[in-house]
Amino acid sequence: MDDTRVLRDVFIREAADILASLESDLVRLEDEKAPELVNDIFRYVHTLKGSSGIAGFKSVYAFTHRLENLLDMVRSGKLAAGREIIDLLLVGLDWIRLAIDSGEEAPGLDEGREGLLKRVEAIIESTAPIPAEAPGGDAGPSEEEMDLGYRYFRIKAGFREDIFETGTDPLMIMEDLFSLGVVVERHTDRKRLPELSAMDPEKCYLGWNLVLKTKSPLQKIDEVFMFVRGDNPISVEDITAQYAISTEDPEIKEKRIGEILVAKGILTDVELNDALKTQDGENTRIGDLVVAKGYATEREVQFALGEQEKIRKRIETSTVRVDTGKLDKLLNLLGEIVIGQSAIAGIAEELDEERGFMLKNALYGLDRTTREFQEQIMSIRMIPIGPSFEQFRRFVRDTAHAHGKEIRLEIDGGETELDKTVIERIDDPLKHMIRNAIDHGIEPASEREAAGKDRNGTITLRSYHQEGNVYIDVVDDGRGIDKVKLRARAEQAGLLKPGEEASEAKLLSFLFLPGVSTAEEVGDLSGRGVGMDVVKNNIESLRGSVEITTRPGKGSTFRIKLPLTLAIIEGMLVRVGRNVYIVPLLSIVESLQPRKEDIRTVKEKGEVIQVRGEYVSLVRLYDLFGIEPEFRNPWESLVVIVEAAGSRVGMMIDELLGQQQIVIKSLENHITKSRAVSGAAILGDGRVALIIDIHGLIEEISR
Amino acid sequence: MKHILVIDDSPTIRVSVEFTIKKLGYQIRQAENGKDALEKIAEIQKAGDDIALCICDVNMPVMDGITFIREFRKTDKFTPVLVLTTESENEKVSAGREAGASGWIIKPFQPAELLKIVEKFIR
Repeated sequence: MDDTRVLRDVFIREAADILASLESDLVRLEDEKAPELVNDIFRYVHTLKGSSGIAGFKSVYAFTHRLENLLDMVRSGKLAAGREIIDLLLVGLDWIRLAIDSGEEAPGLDEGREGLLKRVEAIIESTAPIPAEAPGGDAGPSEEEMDLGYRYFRIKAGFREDIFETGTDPLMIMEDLFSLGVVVERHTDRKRLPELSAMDPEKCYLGWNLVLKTKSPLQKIDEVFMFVRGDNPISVEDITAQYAISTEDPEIKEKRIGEILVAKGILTDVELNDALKTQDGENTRIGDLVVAKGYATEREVQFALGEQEKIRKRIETSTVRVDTGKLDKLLNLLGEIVIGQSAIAGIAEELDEERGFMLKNALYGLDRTTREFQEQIMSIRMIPIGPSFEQFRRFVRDTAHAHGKEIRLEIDGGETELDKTVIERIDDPLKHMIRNAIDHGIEPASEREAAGKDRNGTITLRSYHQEGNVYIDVVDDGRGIDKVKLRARAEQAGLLKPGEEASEAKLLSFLFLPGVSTAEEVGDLSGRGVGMDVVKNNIESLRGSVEITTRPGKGSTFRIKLPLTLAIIEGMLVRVGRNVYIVPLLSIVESLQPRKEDIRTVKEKGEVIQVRGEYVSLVRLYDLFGIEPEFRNPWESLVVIVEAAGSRVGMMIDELLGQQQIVIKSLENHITKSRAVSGAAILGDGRVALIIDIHGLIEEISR
Repeated sequence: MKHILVIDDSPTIRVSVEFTIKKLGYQIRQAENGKDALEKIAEIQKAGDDIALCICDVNMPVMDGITFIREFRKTDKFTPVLVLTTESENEKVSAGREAGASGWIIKPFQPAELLKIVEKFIR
């Protein structure tokens, strides 16, 4: 590949990353209006501009250049980040994506850009600028105009000792200040506080140093101090940019304790220098020195240490991108090591007792290490689900708008980690469930209002770990699932006889069958229940399950349960003849020894076995795999009942050997054409066992 | 072995700079941000090699270019550092200069132009 091509490819990948982050930030901006977000968005567009220019995407470069100008106005506060701008930027992203994907050759690109740029101009002209400071008095800027976000002010307030004599109580002033916002940081300056015996109760010795998070402008804060200003040392400083950096932004570097104390306004530069001068050698800690000198209290130093730790942690979590193929390779190599280990264990058996014992002991230690090694590799494959959730913000917004609904997406537990492969394959099912919740779950605003609910609906995506599984909940606060209607539907579809008893769980499980839905009108978004069966199948193919709970008028929860990883399964080892097979534990319903009279042959269904009044197809595994079994009569052998995609079969086996954690090794396509086998595993004794794919098995025999 | 360090958070920019200047025969190293760059520099020096030049973006996450230059200048007063800026960042040029930058390049650049500036500094 020549340089230009490589460069274009690098750019296309970079742009995809940036566009995804931009999209999610823009939708968040609509809800949060945080100034840090505006900065991030600006930086992304800025980077995109630079890269597109270098990679030769001229049209994208020109366009992002204009967007950057627009965003600069938002950033500097000349324009408010309203819905109109966010809408425009989102459509702009779509344009950029199309331009990049098509190599700037898609038809209509130029027209699209011109249209968008006209909208940019229109916004710049029509949007009333945010008024600078209101001309004093009551006519302060309205909530809406100031809605750009919170600002952070560092306020240092010292007072004259005789301030009480003027009838001013500093506490009152502080209370006024608190009514303007939230105090996010607070230190009391006790440096002037004398010994108790020397203290005059009519004098003020204390001062405050705090950070106020507020939506009020600087002017409002100045007003609070109006009467004490002048002869009291008071300073108010807008530190929004700095504060956002030190608390939210990744733009951080390690700081020394002294620096932090100064930055937080606890120490002055002079005091720090003084303390540093007296620091003799490396052994005295600056924290101890400033406490000894009375410049700061123990607690303030502790606070600074905490801040330092926070900064350090954020610096430490830097990351490396690794091709997952490499991880798979590592895992495979580890599998080979385990085989080698088994071979050595075999030799140990043949040695004399003493040396055999020593070798086995050594192997035991090695075994522990390989196990831990395996766990570590698995943990590398794990990535947080957050970004996957974030991408739905845009989807929820657009889909809800298309339906004339206002729906917020809440995200919880985005830091929960899952195997990368699982995350990639859970996207589609999630999208479908979210679409369903928007379409069928959340009521129109008027209906919600009539029911005494918030006009705006909420969908929550939540993820958490529990008992070795990962759960993903899709929760809506809509009308819930109408079980009466669902029952009627089920009867109509012939799934239930009129009057037949059906538990709630059973009723709800009908939702996953093709052709059942309770929406009165068929929406163009999710149609008539088509898809939930696909959702269930997709999740099951990830060896997961899905379950619904619902409360009338309150909403529904779709709970997806997934294994932590696809590379390891809990398996049941079974023997057929001299071969060992692995059955995924999750698919097993039960194992039983059938009676002779339970076996029948039914027309068009072949051999079946009766299990508690239900007929289940019988699969002779030895037939399927063409091997010699120990038993040919089902009543002599064992039958394992397995379930996938809603149907059950009984597999004939000779013996159950027990459960084991299995590391899956995938098979090349030319080794097996059978869909009934999903992979292989190496057992502890070095033997190879095939893993039975229950999905594939059921499909194979139903043909 | 002499190294040229290319510091930019955008892989596109890093790769394009590398392609442009690789014919000069230097070992080219990429860094994603100022902090990454400081680490790479420490590595290079530990291996007993020298740095001939740094080419550095201004606006980067984790550690920006200006901070990087300041840090770098604490131990190295002479190695040239070129700042990559866009035309909309005029004010950054003077900030970079104060921090100790030796020159600047405006993005997007023409390869020939970049080459000329780089050659001027490493001659």
